[in-house]
Amino acid sequence: MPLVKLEGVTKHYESGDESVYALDDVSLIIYKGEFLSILGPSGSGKSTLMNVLGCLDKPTSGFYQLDDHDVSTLSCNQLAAIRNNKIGFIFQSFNLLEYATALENVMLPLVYAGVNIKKRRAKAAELLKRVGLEDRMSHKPNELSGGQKQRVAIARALVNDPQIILADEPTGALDSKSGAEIEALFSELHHEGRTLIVVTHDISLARRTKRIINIKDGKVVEDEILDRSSAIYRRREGD
Amino acid sequence: MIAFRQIIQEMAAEKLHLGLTILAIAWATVSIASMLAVGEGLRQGLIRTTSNGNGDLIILTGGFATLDYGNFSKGKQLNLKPDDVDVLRALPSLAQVEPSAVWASSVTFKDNGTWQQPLAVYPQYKELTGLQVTAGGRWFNPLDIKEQRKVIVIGRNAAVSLFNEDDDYDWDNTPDLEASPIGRQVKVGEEKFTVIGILKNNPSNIENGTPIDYAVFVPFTTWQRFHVNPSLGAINIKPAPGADREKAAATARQVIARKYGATTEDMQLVQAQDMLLRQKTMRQFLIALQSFLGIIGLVTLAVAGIGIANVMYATVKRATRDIGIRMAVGAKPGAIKLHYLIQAFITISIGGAIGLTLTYALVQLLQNIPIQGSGFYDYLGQPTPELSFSIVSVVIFALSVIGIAAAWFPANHAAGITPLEALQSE
Ligand SMILES: Nc1ncnc2c1ncn2[C@@H]1O[C@H](COP(=O)(O)OP(=O)(O)OP(=O)(O)O)[C@@H](O)[C@H]1O
Ligand SMILES: [Mg+2]
Repeated sequence: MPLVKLEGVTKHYESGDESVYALDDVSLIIYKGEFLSILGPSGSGKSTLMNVLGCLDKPTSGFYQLDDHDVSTLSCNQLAAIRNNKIGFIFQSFNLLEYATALENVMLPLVYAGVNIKKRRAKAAELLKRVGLEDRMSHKPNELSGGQKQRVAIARALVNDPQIILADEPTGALDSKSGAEIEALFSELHHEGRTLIVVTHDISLARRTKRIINIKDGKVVEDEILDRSSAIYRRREGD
Repeated sequence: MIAFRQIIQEMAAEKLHLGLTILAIAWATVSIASMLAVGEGLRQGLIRTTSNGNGDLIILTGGFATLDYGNFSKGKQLNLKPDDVDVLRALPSLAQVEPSAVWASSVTFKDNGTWQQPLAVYPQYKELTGLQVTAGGRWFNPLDIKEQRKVIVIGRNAAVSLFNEDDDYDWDNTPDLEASPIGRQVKVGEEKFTVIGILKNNPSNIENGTPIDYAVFVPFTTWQRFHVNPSLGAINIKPAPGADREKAAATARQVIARKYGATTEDMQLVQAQDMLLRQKTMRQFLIALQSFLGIIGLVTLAVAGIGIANVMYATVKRATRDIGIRMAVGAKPGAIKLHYLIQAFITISIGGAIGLTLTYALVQLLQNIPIQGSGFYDYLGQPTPELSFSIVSVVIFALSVIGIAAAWFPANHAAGITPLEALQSE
């Protein structure tokens, strides 16, 4: 049973006489527990793919199934609920609320999930601890370094125990040391059994993943499994 | 499902705009509330002046015939007589019937005279018209009536003009009495009367427009003693509680007309004036005035509402990226909308509370400024602005309606942004 199933997904932009296929007939299957990187030149459609996967954007055509839900037929409210409890999104530019503390930022998804304040606080604190920021909980984003901000964002992505974690160039805005810390964190998450999809230009990050998808002009041009010893793929081979 | 804390944080980040919006709302609230309060004050003042004196009476008078009918030919006068009262008292729709007559002589003390000629009345007249006697004096008693005593009760301003030595009398600012006139002798025509009472100040009128402050009263029977076959000035009628006033007045006219062999068709011959109806028109006018003032306030409030809408649009625009972040982590459009509606609600509540508090302070201040002895001010029933419960309710209702209307569109706009659009903004 795949976690993600894309069939013939197309995203088409039309502006003036220019017509761009950001995604062109993409079909893809992703299983639970996979650690996958998406590579490709700038403008190839990586972010577009991530936004579709993260239910932030709707494809022009095609079929998208996420964990039993046919996402293409869902309403705004249902999509919001999916984003809230099935998806954790990590952005290159962190996307934290500037006037809220680290703790409040991490708590935000739980607010919209209707979790009570006590549990919210406890869960968010636990995750900040998990990413090594227990002493930065009441700091606001402008009092944090880039790496720390990204760790807050990761804690926020994890707070609802999502089925799938999407990261669009998570180390793109970081220095190499902070980048390496984030990479290590991702590996840990993978070993915990989480499903991670990472868009990156960073070869060292891509090498940590178990599967690399190459995109060009909105098309999947290469889909390579790096580590066949990994449990998920062994099981699949056996199917 | 709402990040309440962040609503506050977001507002705190917009202190200047928020402050200006609150100021605008507070100002609008002060203007609408104080205008309504002034209107209410005037209305209450009018109710005060008209609810005593002749305010709720029907005044029956005789006039000249304008039709030839029965005993009357055109131009002939109908004079009401003391025994007319008896037939009217038999009518169940009338609660009280009191005659009054004008003694056609001036009242004098030394060189001074009064403006009004004495009115001859029974003791019951006092209760009927809400007269009050100042301490040290008294009103007529049954003995005065029985013995036809030559005693007199004088309105306060009339007393001042009679007894104060000071000649330069100021109509707008009546001075106090220099000495108590109780027990002094005044003349009505050539007859000597003893002053037994001075009336308290009362801005209302009696009869067909005699100010109580200038009226002079003598016992009805004393007047009868000095006049042969006298005619009444008027009959004061108070309809029974719950009775149809118009019907009561018509019945009274009919009874009198029939008694004299006249026709009720002749509106000039027997006249019945319902003072309450006159007062009702005045009240309606004041309600219209109050509505007008309220509408001016409402327009001010609407302008403030446009201001709120503008500031909200700006806030939403600045916060677009944050809206994207919220949506990306699962905020539904409804939650985003509620977020901005709550923000507007808080802004309006603060502004409204400040405005109402300021108005309250202002009204208190005005109520405590002593304005005394101004004739015109008294005539209006000494109005002071009143911030009544209903005014506060109207203001809060208007604030809510305008606030919701003003916040609705920006909030809807915010909720309509797609998460990706919002995240990519800037
Ligand atoms: N809103 C839009 N309107 C029009 N064209 C768009 C829009 N968003 C993306 N595109 C186009 O779609 C294509 C894919 O864009 P996308 O952002 O997915 O690229 P990317 O692979 O993420 O690039 P990068 O590595 O630079 O982030 C590009 O040609 C881009 O110009
Ligand atoms: Mg991109």
